Amino acid sequence: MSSQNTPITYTKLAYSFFKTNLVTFGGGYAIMPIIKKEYVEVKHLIHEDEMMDLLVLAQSIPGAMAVNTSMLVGFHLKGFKGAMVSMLGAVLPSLLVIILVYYFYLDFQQYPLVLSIFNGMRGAVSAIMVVISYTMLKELFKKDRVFTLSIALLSFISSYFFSIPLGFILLLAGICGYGLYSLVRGRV
Amino acid sequence: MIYLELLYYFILIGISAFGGGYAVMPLIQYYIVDKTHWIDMLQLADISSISQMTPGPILLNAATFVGVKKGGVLGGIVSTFGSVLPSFIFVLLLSYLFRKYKNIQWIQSIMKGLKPAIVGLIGVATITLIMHSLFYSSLSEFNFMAILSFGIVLLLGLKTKLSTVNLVLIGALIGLATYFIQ
Repeated sequence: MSSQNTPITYTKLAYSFFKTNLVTFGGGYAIMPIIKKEYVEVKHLIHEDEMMDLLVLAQSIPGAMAVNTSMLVGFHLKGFKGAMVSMLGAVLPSLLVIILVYYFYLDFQQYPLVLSIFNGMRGAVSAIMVVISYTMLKELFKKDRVFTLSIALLSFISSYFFSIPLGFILLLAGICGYGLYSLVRGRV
Repeated sequence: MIYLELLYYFILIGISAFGGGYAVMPLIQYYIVDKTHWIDMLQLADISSISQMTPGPILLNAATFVGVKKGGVLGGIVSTFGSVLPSFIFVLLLSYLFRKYKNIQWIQSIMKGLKPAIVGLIGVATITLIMHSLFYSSLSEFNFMAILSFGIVLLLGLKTKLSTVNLVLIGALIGLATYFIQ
């Protein structure tokens, strides 16, 4: 599936992911098609089918999807070192920009005008979270309603009312998913 | 030592961050707001607003932000790498397994169980965020400006296809407008 001799240098690999992650706002789902286009259609380094596999993998791995996709493509093309330089390239834009932004945030926060803007955005983020919860809940209604809704409800209750550790909740939920789809049904 | 603590907590968040994007909000709330008190709920809201307007996913943006706050630039670097370390190991592991067996159905099954749990947990983070950003110390003292922007953005978010970036910008404009009206 991969070869270490792919005609792309480590520098080019790192630079390509630095560039993509720098100019793309809005996270994983926005970045994945851009990476796909660049490596499948422009650079012709990865076959379309292989890319689809990588994208499925990227979504099955914890963490940010943009970074996951970058690392998977890097590993696919240049092995361990490839994954390493792709990770550096993908992480650097966020690191540099947020370090700068942090100090601006500290300096500007004392101004009432800036505080007003942040107040408005706090309300907006709360609303966005409601919209996201609603959209995700609607998605759950589509398939295996009883299973998905009971897991969602149980994890809500155990976290909100009983403060059960998140790691424990996620572990149990993962086991339930594995049990139902792999053991009982044998298909996803 | 703060660097080790930052590394530890962001590795924990990185391991549990299935689903990406806003799915990390409950994790950051749990580990960074509730457990270590490194930031408060309002700062978490600010980080996610900032994250919409800067490159990089919320997970990384939050890691850098909290890291810099607690340990300067080095703290930011340590936290950021801590947050991607689990994904990096998963990339190596899964690429290897996938090459060998050409089958990742088991991990997709696990994801099918995790996704609804994450929705439940996002629900918890949503309620906490609303309580902190729309109200001050009690339910009777509310932040009028935040409630106004909450209402307008909620309506737009449900009824239109505006992107989250634009929704946050609308929130910022409402904040700006109320500042000048007052």
